[in-house]
Amino acid sequence: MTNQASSPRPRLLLGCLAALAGLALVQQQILLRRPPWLQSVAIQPMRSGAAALDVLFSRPMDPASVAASALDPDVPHRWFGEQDRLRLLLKSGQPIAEPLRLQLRGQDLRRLPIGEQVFWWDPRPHLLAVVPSGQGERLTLRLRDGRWQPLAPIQQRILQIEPLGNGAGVALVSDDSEARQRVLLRQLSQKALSVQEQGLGDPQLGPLDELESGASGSLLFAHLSSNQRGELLVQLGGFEPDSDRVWIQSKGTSRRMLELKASGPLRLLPDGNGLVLPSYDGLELLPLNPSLDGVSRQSLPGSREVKAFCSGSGRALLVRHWPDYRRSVELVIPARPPQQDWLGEAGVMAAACDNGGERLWLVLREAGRRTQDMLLKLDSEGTVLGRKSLGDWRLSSGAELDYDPVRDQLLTVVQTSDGDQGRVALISGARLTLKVLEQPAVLARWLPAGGTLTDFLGPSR
Amino acid sequence: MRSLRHLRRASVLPPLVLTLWGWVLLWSSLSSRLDLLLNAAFHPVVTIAGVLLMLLGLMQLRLPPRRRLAVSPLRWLLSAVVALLILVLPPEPSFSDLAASRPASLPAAPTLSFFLPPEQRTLTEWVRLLRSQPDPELHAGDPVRISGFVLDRPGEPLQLARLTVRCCLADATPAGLAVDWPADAKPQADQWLAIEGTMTVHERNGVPVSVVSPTLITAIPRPERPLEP
Repeated sequence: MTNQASSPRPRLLLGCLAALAGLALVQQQILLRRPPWLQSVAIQPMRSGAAALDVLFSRPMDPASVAASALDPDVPHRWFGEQDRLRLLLKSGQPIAEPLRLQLRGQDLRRLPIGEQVFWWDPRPHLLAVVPSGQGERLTLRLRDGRWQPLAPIQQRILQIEPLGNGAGVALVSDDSEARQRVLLRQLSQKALSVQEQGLGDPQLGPLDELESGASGSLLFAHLSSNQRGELLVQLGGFEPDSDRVWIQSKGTSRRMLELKASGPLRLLPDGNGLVLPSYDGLELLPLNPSLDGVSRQSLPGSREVKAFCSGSGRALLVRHWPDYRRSVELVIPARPPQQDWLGEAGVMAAACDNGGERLWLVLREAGRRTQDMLLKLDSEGTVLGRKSLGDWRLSSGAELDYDPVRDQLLTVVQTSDGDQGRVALISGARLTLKVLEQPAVLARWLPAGGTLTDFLGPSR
Repeated sequence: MRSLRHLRRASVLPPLVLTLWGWVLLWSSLSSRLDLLLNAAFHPVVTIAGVLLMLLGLMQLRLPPRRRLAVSPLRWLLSAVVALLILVLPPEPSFSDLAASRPASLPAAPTLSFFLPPEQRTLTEWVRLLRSQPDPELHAGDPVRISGFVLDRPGEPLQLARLTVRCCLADATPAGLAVDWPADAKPQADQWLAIEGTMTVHERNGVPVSVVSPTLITAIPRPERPLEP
């Protein structure tokens, strides 16, 4: 009786187990034969070379097979990384003048090939300029065909423009005759990466946000700073004591107010982990998320100001003001004392460095009978690599040197010594040749290329 | 033989074995042996389990037996022998052997931070950073101060490595850094070393990679907590 009652159950159990094992076996064999697929391709702002793309696969890949992918035009490049995330880095030195076509190939570690994927990438930044317009000034974007597209309504005066570090917009600070300062943000949709050649193009205009209306009339100054994550720091200072406000915002997140007491404009670090706070004793480096980073503030005493970040290497260029009215330019490398690369009595009008902090450019102004601006190119040790006078041109008031590693050129605004209108100027990073565009301008900056592609078709997903 | 049979008949054997295993767990926590096997976050669980087992065993010892037991299964005795062996023989795992057969798939990497001075990064932080920012030029010249064990993977140069665990040795994942060993250095697999030096760029298999160039190599004892979360 016991045998009759118990025998069907083990059979049923064994049958179920066998069915499950068979199912697992079939599933395993299907997965085993499933080819790898592309999960995402993203423009990487942090790099040592001219431009970089991060490619994420569905599983670890054989780097050598991916490195055999075809790039057209075949500019010097390398592939780095391991496992499922690889990086394509375009080397510095050869300016990129047109979009690139990447034909991605590769095999995973079991030699299963990825379905061939072609996409187009235009790493070149767009030129942003504040141009005189009617009775005021206007923020404009230079399109690839050379035309200029307005990005915001005419303002009486534009004091600062700040492109978001991920290329997703540009913010501006304007001022009117009643000293009312406004902060506007034009959001942009980048088209620097596409699976179709026709998909590339100029950024599309998004909404125009008014971050600060200035209606209260109590603003003394406004300052903006952005990092490569696309976060925007807005610093507002009022006439009243303790009326300063500082907040940080990014797309899709609400404003985060920061309780900071600064003696000058705050600068976000390019990597998005901290900010530089000018204090009365020098510069202080603060983490943006102290609880997460687990580190406290770091101080660099002395009368110093940040002139430029060498965005790929964690390095920065500082100008130090000495009590005897001399100035020095210092290269700051993490974990090392500042390294003095230049010292003199000339005014340091602007400075820039490449992504690795290996090449530095300074615009120096000698005080004398005739104002003369000199462009100096140094290596990271301070050795002079080149020197060129700007001739009859000189840097406009408030102009910056903005470096474009993709085309190895510097952007600034110059004007003639007779006080004519400023003009957009491009300077070759290698030869220091100056090219002045016809376009009158007050300010100019690069809008970096950015974007991520994720809409790839996986195998029978 | 008679005494063994007597012991197997004894009703106190199961409670004694339970108590013994409780003591094994408790002793492993108290003597830091667990640091070699388990993520520190789980140590309290083991400690509590040990205390509970001991309490159960002691309670059973104090309660009168309901009925005379037949011969206790041999497995109780075998279990007691295993527990005694664990107490007597401390674990001496070879991290290098373990890591050599494991895939190096570390969890998501932190971002490259201007903020944290490079010499304050641990070996694991360096490996994760190089995973997220593989461009070696970004790190060239950075000072490095790390410690770990010498990892010997078949067919590869010796690395300095750490084992990261989410739970225990079963899920251990190696994080190894390439080292440009000086000619006079004779690193041995499983040896624990502290290295000071700089990050340099070397060409390996036609690809530039970040390699630690040591200026000072010091032999160190195995840390009390060698596994990293």
